[in-house]
Amino acid sequence: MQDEVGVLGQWLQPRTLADASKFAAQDGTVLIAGGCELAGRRDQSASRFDTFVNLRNIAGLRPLDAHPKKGLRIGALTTVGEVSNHLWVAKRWAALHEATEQFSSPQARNTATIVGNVCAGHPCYDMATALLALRANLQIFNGTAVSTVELSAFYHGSGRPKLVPGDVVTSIGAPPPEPDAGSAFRKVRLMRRQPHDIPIFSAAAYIALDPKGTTIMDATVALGGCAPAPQLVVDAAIHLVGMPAIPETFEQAGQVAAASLAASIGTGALVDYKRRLARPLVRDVIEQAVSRARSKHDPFEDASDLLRDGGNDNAR
Amino acid sequence: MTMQDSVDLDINGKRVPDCAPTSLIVDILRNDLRLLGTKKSCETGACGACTILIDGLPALSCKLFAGSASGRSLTTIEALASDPESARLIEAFTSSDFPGCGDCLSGVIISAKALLEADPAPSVFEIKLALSGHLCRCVGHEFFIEAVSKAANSIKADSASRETAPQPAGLLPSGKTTAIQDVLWPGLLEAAVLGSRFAGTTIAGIDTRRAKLAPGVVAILTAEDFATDAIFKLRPPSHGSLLATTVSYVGEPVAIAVADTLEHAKHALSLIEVEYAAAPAPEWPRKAGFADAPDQACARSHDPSNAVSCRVARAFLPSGGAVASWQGNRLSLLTAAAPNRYEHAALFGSFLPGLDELQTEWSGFAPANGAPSDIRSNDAALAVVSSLLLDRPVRVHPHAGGLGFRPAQRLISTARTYPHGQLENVAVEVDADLRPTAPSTSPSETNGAPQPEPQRNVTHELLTETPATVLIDHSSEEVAFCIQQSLDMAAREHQQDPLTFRLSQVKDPTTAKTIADAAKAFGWHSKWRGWTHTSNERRRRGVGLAFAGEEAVDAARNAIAVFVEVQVDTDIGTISLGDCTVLVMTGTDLESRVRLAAQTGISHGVETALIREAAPVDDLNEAPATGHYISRSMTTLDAPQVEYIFANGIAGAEFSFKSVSDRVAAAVVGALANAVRDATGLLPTTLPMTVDRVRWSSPGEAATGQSL
Repeated sequence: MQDEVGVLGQWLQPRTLADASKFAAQDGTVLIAGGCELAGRRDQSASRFDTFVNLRNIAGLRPLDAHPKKGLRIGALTTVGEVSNHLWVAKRWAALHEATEQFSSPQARNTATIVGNVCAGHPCYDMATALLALRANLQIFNGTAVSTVELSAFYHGSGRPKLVPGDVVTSIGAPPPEPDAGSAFRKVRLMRRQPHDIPIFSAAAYIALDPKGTTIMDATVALGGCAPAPQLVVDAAIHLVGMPAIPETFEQAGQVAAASLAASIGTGALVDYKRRLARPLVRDVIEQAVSRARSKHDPFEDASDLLRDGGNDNAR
Repeated sequence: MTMQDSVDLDINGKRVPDCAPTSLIVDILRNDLRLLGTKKSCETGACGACTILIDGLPALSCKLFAGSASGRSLTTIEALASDPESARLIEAFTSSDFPGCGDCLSGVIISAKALLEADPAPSVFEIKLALSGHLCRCVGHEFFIEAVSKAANSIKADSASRETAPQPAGLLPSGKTTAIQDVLWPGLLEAAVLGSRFAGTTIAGIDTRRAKLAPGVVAILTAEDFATDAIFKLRPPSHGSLLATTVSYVGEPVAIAVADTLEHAKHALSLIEVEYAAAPAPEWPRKAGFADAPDQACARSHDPSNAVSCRVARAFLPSGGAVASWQGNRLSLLTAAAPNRYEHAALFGSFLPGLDELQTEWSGFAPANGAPSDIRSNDAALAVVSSLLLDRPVRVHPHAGGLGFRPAQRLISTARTYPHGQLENVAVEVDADLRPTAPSTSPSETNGAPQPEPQRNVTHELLTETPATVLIDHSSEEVAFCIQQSLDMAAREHQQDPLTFRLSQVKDPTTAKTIADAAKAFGWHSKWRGWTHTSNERRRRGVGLAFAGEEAVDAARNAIAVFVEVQVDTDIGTISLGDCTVLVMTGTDLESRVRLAAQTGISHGVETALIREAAPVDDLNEAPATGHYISRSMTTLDAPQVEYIFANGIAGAEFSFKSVSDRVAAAVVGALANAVRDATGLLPTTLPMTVDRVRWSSPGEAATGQSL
């Protein structure tokens, strides 16, 4: 048996994006960044793919730019660990930082990539939940041009990413947060209640306040693990905007999210059980995001620090 | 040139040419280069046994294609073993008194090495974080933390005194000893064990026809094969067989597939069709009558109506694997853990009287004092009997089936994925709105419609509200663990001892005392090694660990968890169960929990469990050899079984532990066996047991009893 799966198939190492895209357009081809997902499920990979296209030798897929004024850009080869150690991601895109901190094991973080996690489209993978709340977008190269796709429009209802053969996701990014904004992510690991139940439930929120820190000006709420793909909870966001940033508001938003969840994924014991979790989970991430939005920081100071440090401070 | 037929790797500073890019690094290391220090264990990236360094950072070699690793520098445990700087680290691990199977160890050392490179003086918290990607099936985490701290201090002292570092004491991390998975005996067959998917069932039938035709398969063994007189040369042991026909717990072995490779064996397992039938409820309480107990078993029994004799041949904890080979009446046996005394008893006490010579070797991680491990598994027994049947050497692969491995893994992986003690996350599982009792409710509130307060902070609520919110059932051991962790976290925030802190939040003195007692008894939730024997001091505890897995949850939504705590008095004149509390806790769905809580008054198992008269043992480490021993187990009952208990009661009645489940019985016997051995130095093969008293909170009592 060992010998039968000893060699899976062709291994291609293109040096340009154009080549990668050309290979990716062929049937039975899969792109590899960190390779965790495919190597970890090797038997399945062997039956599904006969050509592996390794992106490692392509220049320019490894950026990690996090600038409080310019936004966030994470390359296709940037590992979860690198993002997790980035000071500015932690400061201004806290939801993503929290998601990376809780990602699998330290060893996996050193090889797994953010983009790989998002593109795997697995309901348990929750980088997308945090990124969704941060209004992330993906840059996709299709062989001729780079297009930008919002993460909220990236998944089919089945959870599969909307990619066509030949597409190469080169990076994922997020706009800079408002000056008085904060975000948070939280996940709950669950016992499986039924076969095929998703044993992870995650929530993320992004909240922008007015300069006084009293009224919610902008909000997004995302839930992962309740459907094949992570979802934006639009009802909760609508409820939040214009409301005073007080505990009652957060609690109401949690209730709205729970109700919205039931409406969108039906009813039944399983849903009921997750709905019960949704309320406190959503409430807590909103509360945390608001708290971060109010925390004292001067965006200009951030920017000058950034210029001084070059933005790649790996210190804790 | 983009097409790659082969890649070059840089492993331990040496160039390794011509590797297939789609091979996994772990396979290249182990199969091609025979660098056996790196272990292959779960193969899904969950356990961390295969950890190596890539450009100085720990990474999983079982999730890494060679093509992804080319051009990068790979370092394995073998390089560390020959590196004087790492010697202190390896020595710190090998000189610890932790007796484990050693499978996870090289990975742990690799991660520790990376940590010490980055931070020569890490805090305990940092060590926990760095090692959080490692699963030790023998639950040695605390030892590892100690070892890393020790190594850090030692290296610091070393560099101060500039002494030369000693050579590594242990050989295992260097891959030079033979681990179970490294054995290459001629004609060796690989065995994989099929565990039961359900608990509380009988095996109505096993269809092995398809499996027998699968490629590479040599034999499919079931209980039928194992229960033949010809094999055991004596009549079959009283408990039946090493393979189950009546299943008590999820994961209990029901069949073995033996094939030329492990992959073939695992493939064959997937083709075995097992037909499960519910165990007939009326028979259940009588099931364990041990009617055919061997004659010598009851020699010391005090009261025939109460006596339970039990031969221990089953075990619970994750398996470490074993290799067995017979040459005539000569048996060579290699086990990951020294065959524990139960296996010895089972194998050599009655199964194999014709044995002339026994060569056993223990591949595991030898503690400095050479004490045997108590990691229980019946892998050795399965390997010995399979090998005897097939007349070929047989390897039961480590963790390839095993007993309760997956649930145990779940527990520990939860522990490892909560390095921060992010416990409020899990505690939301506890729904405040459905609390069965609300002692703080004032009369005026009960008149109007109840208005449950919004659940502001679950951790806080757990601390301040009635302990009724803490429900532990068989599916939520991990929740229990996490709740405990959250309490610890919250306490740390308040800079208090967790227990003191929790007590300070409870106003009612009776409740406070109950919680204090419970916390004392259930300290094992916050101490991993409370789960099993991980050191000599703890060896005598005789902990039986049982889980019901997720399948059981699905199969029986009404399943009920029973927690049994047994305190064993080891005064050898009268071996008796000094005190015992049987506790029913409600099942998996909250509604039935609440309903049953209302019926029984036992709504919060943790706190109720410590209703006992005997003085609790404060510190098991300090317990004298003739002191009290505690054994705990947890098992599942189905609804009819619970009804039976409710209808007939247990207090004062004939109560056989087997009637709860043989896991419970075995847990009790485990404690007894340890107690007897410690007190007498004898190895008991069968034990008489008398149940002096079983305290049971029957529904009637509970209704009038004190509300906790």
